[in-house]
Amino acid sequence: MDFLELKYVTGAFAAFLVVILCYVLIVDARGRKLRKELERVRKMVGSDKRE
Amino acid sequence: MQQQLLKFALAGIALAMFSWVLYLIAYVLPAEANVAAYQIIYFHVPSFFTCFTGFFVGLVASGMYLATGNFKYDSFAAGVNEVALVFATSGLALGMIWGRYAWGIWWTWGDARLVTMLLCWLLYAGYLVLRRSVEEPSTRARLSAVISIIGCVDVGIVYKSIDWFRTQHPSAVLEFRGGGGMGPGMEYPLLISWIGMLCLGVLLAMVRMKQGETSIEIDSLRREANSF
Amino acid sequence: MYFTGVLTIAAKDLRAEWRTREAINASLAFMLVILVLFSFAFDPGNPEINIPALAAGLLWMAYSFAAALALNRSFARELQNDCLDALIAAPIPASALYLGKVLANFVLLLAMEILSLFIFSLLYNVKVATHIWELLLVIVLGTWAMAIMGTLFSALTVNLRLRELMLPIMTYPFLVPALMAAILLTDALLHGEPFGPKNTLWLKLLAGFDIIFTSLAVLLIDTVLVG
Repeated sequence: MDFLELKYVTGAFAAFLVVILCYVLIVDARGRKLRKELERVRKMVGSDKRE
Repeated sequence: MQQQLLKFALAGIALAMFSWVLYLIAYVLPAEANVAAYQIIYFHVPSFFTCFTGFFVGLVASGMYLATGNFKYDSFAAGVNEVALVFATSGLALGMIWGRYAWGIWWTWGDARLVTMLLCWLLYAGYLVLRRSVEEPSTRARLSAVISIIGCVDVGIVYKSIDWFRTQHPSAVLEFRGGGGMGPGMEYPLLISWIGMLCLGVLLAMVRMKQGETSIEIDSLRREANSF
Repeated sequence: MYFTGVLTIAAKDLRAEWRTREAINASLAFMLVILVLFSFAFDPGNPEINIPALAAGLLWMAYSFAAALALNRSFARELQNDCLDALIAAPIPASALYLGKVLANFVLLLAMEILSLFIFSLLYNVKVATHIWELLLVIVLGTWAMAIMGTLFSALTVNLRLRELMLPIMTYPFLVPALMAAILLTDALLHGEPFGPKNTLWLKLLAGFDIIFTSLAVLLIDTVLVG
């Protein structure tokens, strides 16, 4: 395999990993946002119950 | 605890499978085949296999939601469709990289599969956009289920029609057809890679589903607090 | 009984549209603007650009864009004063409501398209009269596909904030097989070939698309509108 071809093949695998990594980052960011929102809503409902 | 163990196991299997395929590419498989940089196919095709598996499972889950009204199915469908879209993206990206190297072009409109995949991607991206723009959970679940069902049906029709289109206007570009250029001893890495990708997909779906549960909990709490 | 409901809804929509002429004017104007704008997209004096080869595609693109404009209003007009709720509560099945609206949209779109067809043939020097009946058949089938999918997605997106954006984004990918068949058939017809063995495949695809998606839409409309 000449060097250019090797570059492309590894580049392709790297691209695959990059796509998955981007998705993981997006999911992680969303998870953080959801946890914050959950805390906020729990506090809101909790404070309602205390009445 | 069990879930954590399962996630680690899936990650481990995926890692093992990918390493195995890379090893095979580097040392075992022949360096040349009918198409240049053909090794890319070992990630390109399994990516699409995983993607279609995901869309089909999403279709079934959507149907189950419409039949039972249980929100767990809707959550499941959303997660699976989303992960499937990720694998569609990676499949398309790999295909474009491969096309650039082997045929000199990033894209062509003449091949049935490329255009179908692009449309499929657009359909399910629309599905995700729809989910983001509807706040109310049961409306969202209902509409997503409908899109998921029509989408899956439409993808089949789109593929067939573009295939007929291609036979009418043949293009000399992508002559490589699945299995056409590969000898019998070179197909098993596809299976290995697919197993790895499936494990990775299930892992991602599990993570996504956990978020779906959190989302449902937030929704129900908000309903309690009447903040819709 | 069922068809009386369908026709009543269709007549109501058409009457409302004819009296105010909002959608008709907007879509027609938009169609004309597109046809004119296309002429700026390429240099008519350039001998290399084969306009007759592009004509069919241009025509159907103009039809699709104008249709998106008209179809948006289909269910959106019912949002005021809770008219949509009233219609859903009416003693006709949801599919009758849906088919009535499809019929109304279909008639509206067809009228605009036929008018535009003649303007198009004038502006681009394309002969449409040679196989006019086959051409009309293709336009009818293609417009039915647009009406079915467009009305379904109009119902689906009626309550969304970004309604006008979501409708085209979601409808066009679904319409691709029908549009492709319509464009190919129109292309052949405008070049003077009648329906031959090469084209019947596309005709079957177009008709098949219409049948499959009409059935699917009628089955699913209950879920979309009511739940």
